[in-house]
Amino acid sequence: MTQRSPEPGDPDPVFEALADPTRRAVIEALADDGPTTLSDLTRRLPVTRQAVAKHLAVLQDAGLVDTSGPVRGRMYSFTPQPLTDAMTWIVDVGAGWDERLARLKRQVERRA
Amino acid sequence: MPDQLPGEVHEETIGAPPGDVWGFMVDPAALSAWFGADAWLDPTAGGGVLFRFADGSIRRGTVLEVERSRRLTWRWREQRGVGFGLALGEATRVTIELEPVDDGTRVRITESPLVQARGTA
Repeated sequence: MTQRSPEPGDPDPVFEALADPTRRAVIEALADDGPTTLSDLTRRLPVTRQAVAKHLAVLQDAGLVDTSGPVRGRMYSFTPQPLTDAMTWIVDVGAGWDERLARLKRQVERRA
Repeated sequence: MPDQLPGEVHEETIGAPPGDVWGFMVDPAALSAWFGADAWLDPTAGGGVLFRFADGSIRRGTVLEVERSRRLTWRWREQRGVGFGLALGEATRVTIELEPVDDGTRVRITESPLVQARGTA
């Protein structure tokens, strides 16, 4: 897996991370029940331990999951800030008048 | 009429006659599509306007002027939360002007702060 250090506020890794239903399930599990171990997560999800580990790595790259503790019994926790940043990105896109005017132009001319 | 302060002007020339562009102002589905919000607007003076944005915020207001295919203005303000948590944003006035030009329509949009005249809030 390629390790990357996303720019703060760069939504790409977050949207990529969220594009998979198992990863969303991992986030939900961590968000609902707090920090937990890989073994514990694997018990609660219908995929293999290796798959959960892979998904956790992607989530960690996106800044959505943080780890603590020793390798054995390592705890994984949900860090929601990148979600807030991605939400802000969604809201900001097209929120300005210039973006609205550009969309109006495209939509009127497409129909003309 | 409330006092009006100067605001930023946004302009675009669209390759269609003003009558076509006007349809995108007064049809709620078309308005929502280019606005990027769930929009509802009653295109008569004194009619209501309501925009629901993706972040859950709402802007509500009143249509001030309607000149078919030429000019539409409304005033609105942001509204967050309900009941005791209700917070109101600053009221602004949005002016959309359509002007026929050789290659279509010049659309000019201005949003400016609205200084509420006493007693008209």
